[in-house]
Amino acid sequence: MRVTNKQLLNLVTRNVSISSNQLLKAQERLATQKVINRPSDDPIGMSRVLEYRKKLGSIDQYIQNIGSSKIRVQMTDSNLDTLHDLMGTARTIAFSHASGDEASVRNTALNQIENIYAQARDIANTRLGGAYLFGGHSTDTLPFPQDEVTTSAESSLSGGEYFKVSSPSTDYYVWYNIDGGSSDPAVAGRTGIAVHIATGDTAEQVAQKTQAAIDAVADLTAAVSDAAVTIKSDTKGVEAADGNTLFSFANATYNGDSGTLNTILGEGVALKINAHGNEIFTGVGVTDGVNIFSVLKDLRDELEGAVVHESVVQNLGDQLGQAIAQVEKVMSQQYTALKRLDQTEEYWNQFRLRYENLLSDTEDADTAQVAMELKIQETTYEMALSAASNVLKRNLMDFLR
Amino acid sequence: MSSIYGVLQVGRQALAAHQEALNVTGHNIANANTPGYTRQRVVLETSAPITTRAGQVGCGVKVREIERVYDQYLTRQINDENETLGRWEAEKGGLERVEAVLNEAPGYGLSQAMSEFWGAWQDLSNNPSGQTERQMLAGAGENLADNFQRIYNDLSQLQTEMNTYVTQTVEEINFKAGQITDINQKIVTIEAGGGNANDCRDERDVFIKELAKMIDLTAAEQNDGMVTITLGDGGKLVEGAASFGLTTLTNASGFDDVAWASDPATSINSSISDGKLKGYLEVRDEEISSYVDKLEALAGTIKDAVNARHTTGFGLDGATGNDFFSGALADNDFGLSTTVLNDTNTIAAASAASGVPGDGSNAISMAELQYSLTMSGNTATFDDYYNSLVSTVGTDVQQATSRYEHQDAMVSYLDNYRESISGVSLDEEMINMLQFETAYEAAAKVINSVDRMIETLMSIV
Repeated sequence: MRVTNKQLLNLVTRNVSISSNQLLKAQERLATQKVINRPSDDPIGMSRVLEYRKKLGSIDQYIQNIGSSKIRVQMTDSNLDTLHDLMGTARTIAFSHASGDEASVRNTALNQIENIYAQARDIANTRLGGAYLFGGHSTDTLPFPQDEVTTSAESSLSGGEYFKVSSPSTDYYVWYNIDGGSSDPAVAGRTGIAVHIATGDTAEQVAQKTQAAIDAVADLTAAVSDAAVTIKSDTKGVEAADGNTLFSFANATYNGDSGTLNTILGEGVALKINAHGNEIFTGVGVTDGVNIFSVLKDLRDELEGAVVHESVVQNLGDQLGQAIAQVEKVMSQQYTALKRLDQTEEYWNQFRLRYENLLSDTEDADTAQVAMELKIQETTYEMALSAASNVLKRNLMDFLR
Repeated sequence: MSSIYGVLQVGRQALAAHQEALNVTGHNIANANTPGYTRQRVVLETSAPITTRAGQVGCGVKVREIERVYDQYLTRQINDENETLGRWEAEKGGLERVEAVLNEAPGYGLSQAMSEFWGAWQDLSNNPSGQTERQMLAGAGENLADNFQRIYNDLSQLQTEMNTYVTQTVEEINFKAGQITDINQKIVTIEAGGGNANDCRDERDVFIKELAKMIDLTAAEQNDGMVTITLGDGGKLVEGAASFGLTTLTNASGFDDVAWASDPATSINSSISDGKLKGYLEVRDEEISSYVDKLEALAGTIKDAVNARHTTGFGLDGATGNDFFSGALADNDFGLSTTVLNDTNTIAAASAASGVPGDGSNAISMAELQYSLTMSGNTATFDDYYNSLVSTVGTDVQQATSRYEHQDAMVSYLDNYRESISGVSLDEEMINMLQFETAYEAAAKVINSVDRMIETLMSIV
């Protein structure tokens, strides 16, 4: 077969071109430390890489979810722990005063119970990051406001005496005008609601008039039962606070709901991580449930009374026992949730490692191997060039005279 | 009996013949590097002998013709392979640009945007009333929509470019056809006067080879020396001295189809099966179209699925019935709905009005969309679908590249083979030159001898 100069040239050009292309590819792999630099390098590999990356992204998200959930669960748990202790103390007090006691001793117990009540209420209204922890889905409403006021008879009240009421939108104060002769205390920053009472009004009558006056206000409603007035706003709960010292407050209702907060632990797996007011404090929807606040209030009222009835106190003590069991149930749920969160986190961390390895195996270049390939390509390239120069130098003309 | 002048004539003819041979050798050497040049060869033959009493006496040498050393079957094969090379070159070039648009290798593409979007819904479910989470979610949603729109726009841009190439190629084809008809006429004119129009034929071959790279054709030489070029549908592009041009017509998608100038309303796209034109049409109408369709399907399904869940959910302000995404890729306005853009409190994380603000169950349900089988007739998730799209692009590029490389090697081999037949070897020409030079010198010596013989005769008288 004839071989022409052009053939030799073409061959050399082609070889150098192929060689330099390989060189470029090897350089790219070394520079990016990846064997797959574009989908066409390995289409199936690329598809796997995307899958692994997605999985890693998902795992990171789950771990993040677990992190934020753990904070919540731990906070819930520690609050419930304190509540548990408080209930225990209340129960002990109840049983220790089951038999009749001296008035002074009962006074101490009374203060203690009132203290426990206040603390329990504080726990119930705990906030986490601006949202109420035990409110269910109503995270922007105070779960257990004080909205029940027990009034006294006119004889115990002085003119101009008041108590404060705060609705979500407006601050009020309710003041008593006896026989139209008392002066408005004009509490700063609050709107006044006047209750006109007459000399000699009983506690019930005072309560009735209070209820009427409050109900007449646009965004408040009130109901009365004996000497207790329950106040509500049109949309959410109210908070009543003492202006003077002659009013006693209690709350009767839970303003949150039974909503659950779930967190995503995995594909299609969600875990309930909250505990709401009904589960813990009011016992609504719970078998053998008790309303903790009602029980404490009843105990306090009993201790305040002239005579302590043994059977009543005994009964209240039993109810407190049920309350403790109620709290313990929620505590164990939270504990289980925490355990589950820990285990899932551990699981995902392990899994993550495995996927990272898979991703690396598919995508990453073995540095030593790639460096060697580059060296080989460089040598091949140089050899192609050197062969070119040798081949093209010689022809017949060098040998003719 | 031949006279002494006969011998002189023999010498003279030999000189002339070898001079011409040397001329041809020189021409070959000069054109050793001219692309498409076929080496020429002098065909020497003996002149007609005369009959004498002593028998047949030779009358020297003459040049019968100067021929091209040429294999027409090889030329046909080279043209065919060039057609395929042109096609895969065009497809490879176009698809590599598509791959650059959809390149997920560095990791900052649509796949990540989708992942972040679903993650943002989960963050929201952990703190449904959180303002930060809502802002982040709106941001992730916008990012996702932007990514979709950008890819769509880039792919559409590529389609437009392919279209421009189609139009340009049609113009080039017409130009080449014109050049071929001119050469056809030249060749006929030259060969009518006898002899071979070797250099013109070389030129024509080069034109036909270039034309073959652009569109698939059949070239046939007629008896009169003119070449007829027939296209895929049987229509004649060049017939003798006449060329019939191609033109473009706008089709239903707004792109240009190829048609005969004599019948500009009928598209002949389906009869084009090779060449660059086929490559551009394939990339424009089949491949990029299918990628764009898939992208639209994905974006559309995400939009519909997210909106379906969003409208049944409740925002922080109690609002319900709002869309999350709005617009369409084709209208270049795919993005968040104005309601969500204006106020992130309208993002519906809660499933019931009573659940506001602490209920994140709608957000959870939204995040779970990423695992639902929503694509391909409810058999694939969003990520599966997108991964397979990227994979498909990768495979298409890989295929085009490997076909191109195979064709390149094939064409290179054929070119080399043609070279070995028709190419100029300088060494060979050198030897030929020596050969003709020596013969020339010898012929000159013959004339010298005859001259002395005549001198001798003259001196007798």
